[in-house]
Amino acid sequence: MVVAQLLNALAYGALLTLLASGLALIYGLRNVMNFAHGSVYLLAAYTAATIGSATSFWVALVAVPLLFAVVGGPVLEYGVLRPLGSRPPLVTALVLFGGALVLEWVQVAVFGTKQRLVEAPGPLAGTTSVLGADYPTYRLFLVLVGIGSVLGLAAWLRLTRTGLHVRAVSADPVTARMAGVDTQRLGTLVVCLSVGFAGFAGVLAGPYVAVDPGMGQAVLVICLIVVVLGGVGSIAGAVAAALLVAFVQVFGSVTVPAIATVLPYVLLVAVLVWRPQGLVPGRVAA
Amino acid sequence: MTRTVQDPLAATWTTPTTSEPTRRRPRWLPPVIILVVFGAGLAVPRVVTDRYLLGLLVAGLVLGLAALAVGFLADQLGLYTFGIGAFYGSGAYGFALATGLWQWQPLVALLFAIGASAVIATAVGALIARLPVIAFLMVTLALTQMCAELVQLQALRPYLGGDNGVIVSFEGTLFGLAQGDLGPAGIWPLVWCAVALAVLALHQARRGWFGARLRGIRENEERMRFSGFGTYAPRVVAFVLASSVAALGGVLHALSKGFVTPEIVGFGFAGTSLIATLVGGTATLLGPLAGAVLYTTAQSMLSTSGHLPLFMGLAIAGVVIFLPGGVGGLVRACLAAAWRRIFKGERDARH
Repeated sequence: MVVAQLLNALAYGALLTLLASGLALIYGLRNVMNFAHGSVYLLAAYTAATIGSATSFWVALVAVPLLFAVVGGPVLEYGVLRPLGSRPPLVTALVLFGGALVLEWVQVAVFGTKQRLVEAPGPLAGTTSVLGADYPTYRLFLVLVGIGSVLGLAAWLRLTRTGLHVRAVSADPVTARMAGVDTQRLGTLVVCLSVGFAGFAGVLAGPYVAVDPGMGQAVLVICLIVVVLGGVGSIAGAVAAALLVAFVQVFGSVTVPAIATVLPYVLLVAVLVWRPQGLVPGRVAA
Repeated sequence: MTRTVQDPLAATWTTPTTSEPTRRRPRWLPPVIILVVFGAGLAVPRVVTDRYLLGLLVAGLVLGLAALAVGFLADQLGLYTFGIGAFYGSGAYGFALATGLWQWQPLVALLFAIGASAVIATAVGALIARLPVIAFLMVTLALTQMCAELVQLQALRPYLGGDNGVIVSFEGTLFGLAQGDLGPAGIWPLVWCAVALAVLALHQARRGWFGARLRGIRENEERMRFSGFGTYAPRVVAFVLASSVAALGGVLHALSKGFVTPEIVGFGFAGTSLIATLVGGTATLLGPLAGAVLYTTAQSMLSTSGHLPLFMGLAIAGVVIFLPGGVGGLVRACLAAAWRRIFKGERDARH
């Protein structure tokens, strides 16, 4: 029972991690809070459900994140972030909030408002015995993907030259520029990566949660909580906070189901009282 | 007789070049305009006899109270918020609870709803007033969503009705209005007076030392602290003031609609109040009101087509990028240009 809940929390945490680390990355590099992140995820989930039912889940799993990173990333970068680069971050945030509404309209116009049920693909469809308890195989897959992507992101940030530059710009953009880091190119890369991550999370969410038009807003709010909890702009903090929120939500729904939906917010208030700068303080814009 | 003038500057002062003196706006004019507008507003139901249209105006003004609150914080402190829906909701739910469950007199219930909202706003404001701009935007969105989850809790369903909401019903009268009188025409004077009261309160808060201190904090908080001014308490007070105005809007929402649903607290309303504010513009006090009326009109025209989110999204982006003053700022600029032309004979340099 506890093992199953633990895995549930990890599976949900994996999804939140993918989304929140994308938000934190973009914030660290571009000083922009992407209020359209949830809508990108929503659009990706519907695109994946459509592509997946026409071909297979695996095609969608590769094609959708690529499509979003290659098409959506540049649209965000060259259509919104670059033209508004000299404006205050608040202007960009509000424009992106408008963008979120437009994307939601696109989702309804293209895919309709019907809820989609996505089947887990063949080898992941059944259940697997974990310590004597049957557990849905797809959620195990989610856990593995989540761990894999966190490790991959950490390796990229810690071991590669680009990762070093990302950390440098995130810590101090002016000095990093003076030291010869091409912040523009790096920013574009990170924006594409972030949108791709949201697309990836959208595909993965299909067989795990019901794909419906409200999923974007719901996840955006949780992701904002995660990012604030973790310390705005801090990637390590975002990962830690994503897991914390997932655990609180999953175990809360078992132990105190009456108030489970409010628990993430209680956590937010508690952290705001206790450590207003977040769990792992990052760079916080004025 | 010729006058010798030593000081060249004095010469330009003393010799009128044209026969027409430059007219200044007389002091008595603004109060008179305000009184005339207020009186004319009371007569609106006699002119707009169409029930649907008047209902739209009422809805616009009620939403306008929330937008006024958002606009006040945005203009005076530079803090945009998604969170005003929480207090709009607490006002509406507070009134519905007090009149329905506890059977209080409507006037007492109204004061309770606003008072309780102010108390909650003090606690919330104390917690979040220090947050920087973007974090404030994020946290207030989370808080308003939290309120939406709260009112839908299973345990509170007997009192708040879950996602069905609660029906507002009361015994007795509120300023002479019984429950049956609350059609658009009946409630109009109440809404109009409430809006006037809110505008007056926010205007007074803006113009005095309090507004000056808020704008000082907005421009440079560190320097304000360095100069010996507290910056925390004014922010909390401004937040409480704005929230109380929003709560008044919530009470009127409950009265005019006759029911309260979780929709007015959640993500959707958070967007609505912010869009109305942005479209109206925060540069002028009345801009958000105009924005709210425009929003409700557009909503009633577009909601059947299903394209409302598209237009709203484009409207936000367009206004924020190209028209930072919003509709209010545009109107003010036009009025100022017209004023100069008519009374000072100046021509706009661009034409």
